Parts: sequence; C-alpha cells; structure tokens
Amino acid sequence: MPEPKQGQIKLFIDDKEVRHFDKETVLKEIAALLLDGEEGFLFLDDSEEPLDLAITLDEVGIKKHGHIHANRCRQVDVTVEYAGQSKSRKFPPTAKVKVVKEWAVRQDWEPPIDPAERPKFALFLPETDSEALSEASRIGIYLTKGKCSLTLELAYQERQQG
Amino acid sequence: MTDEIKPDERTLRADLDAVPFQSQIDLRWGEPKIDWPFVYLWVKARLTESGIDRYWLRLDCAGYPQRAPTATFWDMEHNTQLEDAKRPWGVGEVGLAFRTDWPGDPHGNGSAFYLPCDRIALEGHADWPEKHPRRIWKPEKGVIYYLDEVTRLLDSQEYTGPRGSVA
Repeated sequence: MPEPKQGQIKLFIDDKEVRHFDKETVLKEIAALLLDGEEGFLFLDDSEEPLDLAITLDEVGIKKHGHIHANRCRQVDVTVEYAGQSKSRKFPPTAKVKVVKEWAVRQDWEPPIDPAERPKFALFLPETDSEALSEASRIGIYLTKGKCSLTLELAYQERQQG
Repeated sequence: MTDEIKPDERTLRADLDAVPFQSQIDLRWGEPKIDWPFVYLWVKARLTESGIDRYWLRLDCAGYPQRAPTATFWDMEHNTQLEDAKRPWGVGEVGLAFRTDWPGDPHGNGSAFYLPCDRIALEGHADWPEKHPRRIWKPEKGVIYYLDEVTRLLDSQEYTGPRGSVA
C-alpha cells in the first residue's frame, strides 16, 4: 500500500480504498473526487451526521490518518423482508449491518422472533446465493447507483452442528 | 534451500497489505506478525465484565488461499495455545466455534475453530460444503472472511467473556 508524502493525510475511503490528501484540502474537493463530481456527503466513522464540506481535513481533526465514508445519500431507506412481511426505517449510510440487524430482529413480526433466537439471524441481499452481509460492513456500500433505498432479507444464518 | 517467498506466503502478505485489512488495524484487529506459516494478531472482542476486549490469534496459513487458514487463541507471552480458562466462551454458536473438546489427536483439543471456514474443521466434515454453502471457505474470500467470522462471534451477545470469568 502506498505511503503518504510528508505532511499528507492518509484516508481510508469506505474501508476499501486509500487516498492521500494535503491537510489543507477542503472536504468539498474530496467529495467531488470520490463521488465523480456528483453531489453527496462525507461522514466520519460511526457518525450519523455528515461533515461540513466547507471545512478542511485539518479542521475535521484528522491528524495522520482517518476513515471517511462518501455517499450520495444523506440517509438510506432500509426495508427488511421476513416471513412475507416488510419493515422500513431510515439509517445513515455509515450504519453497520449489525445495527440494522439488531433493529430488524426486534420488530413486530408474525410469528414473532424469540429473543433467544435473535443471534441466529443475519441479513442477506435478496435473490443472491452469497454469504450473509458482514456485520462490520456499512449499509451505504450496498446501495446501487442512483438509489437511496435498500432492501434486505432477514433469514436464519446456517449454523454448524456439534 | 532458498529464501524465495512461496506463493502462499506472498498471497497472504499481499492480502494483509491491502486496504480491507489495513483499514481495520487498531479497530477490529492489530499488530500482525508473520513467522511463516503462522500469522499472529489480536482481534477485538465485545467488552465484558472481565475487562478483556481483545484476544491474540495464531493462524496457520500454509497453502493459502487454496487451503483455508486454521487458527486458535494464543498466549503470546508463553508462545503456546491459550489455556482454556482464558479462552473466550459463550453460548450457542460461540460455545460451538470455540469449543475445547475437539479436534483431538493429532492436532490437540482447542487447536482449531469449529467453523466452516477453518481448514481442520473442514477436513473432518466432508458434508459441510453442501450443508453450509454460503459459509464455506473459498479462496476468493480471503483471510478477511476468516477474521470477519471470528470477530463477529466475539462481538455477539452469545459471547460471555473469558471462560474462567464466567460463573
């Protein structure tokens, strides 16, 4: 992985790429670069509120390296489907899949999900055979271009038997 | 004898140098050290009353990524498998994945994780690829997936803390 030049700040973008910027860089320039010129938002890790794009990286308080999440959406309208029903709620794009799952398993489903069974559930992208979404990942990365809504399936995670 | 790095070590080093791993340093894991075929690093655990919030792992990555890693909790001070009383414990999948009554000889109990992404667990369960197609190890998933599975369990409500601290 390339190292930053002296005085530069290393930014992890959406936990999947790294870029280096001068500390005087205004966030608006970074957002334009990361979002291909489209309007959008920058978030710090675990922050629900977007950053003020008029300030610099230095003013954000990032000294040597940090984590930034770029998204066209201020919020994500998440719909979770389970047992032929669906529940919706808005989350920031930085919300971890685990947070969405913890919300989903507590919803008023019919039949209800027993609290003891909640850890056995996971969230999946609909109509795919891929593994459960990583609970540490952010929901914003699963958005498709042009959309601020996301549909997920709540289902039992396959478990190994003893 | 040659000092040339073999393909498995080269691939593993590249994956540890890539952003998905590096971006989580000091967050979900840290201080990776390689003494091939072993990789040592700590992984984050949900804070419990024990005050413990991380465990060291030793991963054996021989044959990576065609062969899955296998790992156990490690005592870095004494360079040995972590004693049972200090290992993470819990109910449900946590108790199963981190069980200490398996795999027995020749590996030794507690020397691997009972997970569909662990090499030793897979060797003993020929039916797992069919039973757990979504969770089975695949080379393209890489070491991040293995660490994802371990940290998911250590962050779950089913994890209750070190075994010796649980009443």
